[in-house]
Amino acid sequence: MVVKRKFFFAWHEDKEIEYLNRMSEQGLQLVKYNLFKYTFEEREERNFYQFDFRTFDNVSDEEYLQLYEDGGMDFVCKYGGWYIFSSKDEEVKKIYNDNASLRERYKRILLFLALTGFPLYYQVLILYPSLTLESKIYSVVRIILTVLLPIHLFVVVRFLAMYRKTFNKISE
Amino acid sequence: MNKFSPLTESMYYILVALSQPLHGYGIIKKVEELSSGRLRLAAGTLYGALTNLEKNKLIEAVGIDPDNKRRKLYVITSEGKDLVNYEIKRLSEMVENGKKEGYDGC
Repeated sequence: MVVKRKFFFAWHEDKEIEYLNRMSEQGLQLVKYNLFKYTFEEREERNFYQFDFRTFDNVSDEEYLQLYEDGGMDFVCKYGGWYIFSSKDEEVKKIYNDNASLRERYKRILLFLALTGFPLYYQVLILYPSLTLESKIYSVVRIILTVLLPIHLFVVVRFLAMYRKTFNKISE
Repeated sequence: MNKFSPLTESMYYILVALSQPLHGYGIIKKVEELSSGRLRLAAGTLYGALTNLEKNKLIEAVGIDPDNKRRKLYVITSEGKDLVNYEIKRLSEMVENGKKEGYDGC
C-alpha cells in the first residue's frame, strides 16, 4: 500500500483524473480516498478513472453500482457524494454521453453546495453581526467560518460557470 | 403537443428499446445494436434517464433479473408509447421537410 497526500480543487476534476491515470500507468491503483489522502495498491494494470456525484437523488446503491459495472466501469470507492469508478478500456471512460445529463450532474453539485452553504451564510452574514464576542473558542470558530465563506462562494461561481458552459453547446 | 417532447436521443432510444422488458445492461446492448454501434449509452446518462423516465411514469419496473438480483427490469408504459409515437411523427416531419427543401442526407 502506498499513501499519497495531494490537494485538488473540486472543479479541477480533470487534473485529478489525469493524476490518477498517471499513477495507474506507474503501477499504482487507487483503492481508497479520504480527505486529500489517496491510498494505492501496487499492481501492474492500466485504469482510467471517472467521477460521479450523487447525494439527494436517493441512489439505490445496489442498482446504481450494478448498472455502472454493466457499463464497463468498476466501482473503486465513495467519498461523500463522490463516486470514483475505473475502467480498463479507455473507450468507455465517459460517464455521461449527452449534454442534458451532464447538465443534471452540475445541478446536483450546485444543489448540494446551496444546502451546505445556507448555514454558513446565515451564521456569517446574519447571526454574527448581531452578536457580541464572549468566549475565545467562539471567536476562533467565527474566524474560520468567515474564511470559509469566500471559498464556498468561489466554488459556487466556478461550478455555475461550468454549468452555464453546457448551454453554449448546440448538441444535446 | 406532448409535454415531454422533444426527447434527447438517449431518452428516445431507451424508450424504443423498452418495447420489451430489459435491464440496464440489456438497454445498452439493444441501443448499440439498433444504432449499428453509433450510440453507446454511458452509465451515468442511462441511470439518470431511467430514474427520470420512471418518475414520470413513462417506464415502469416489472421485476428483477433472475440471474442477478441487483438488476431491475423495466418496460415502457402506455404513456411512454404515446410519447414515442408522437416523437416518430415529429421526427418524420423533420426528415420530410429537410428532403423537400433539397437536402438528401448525404
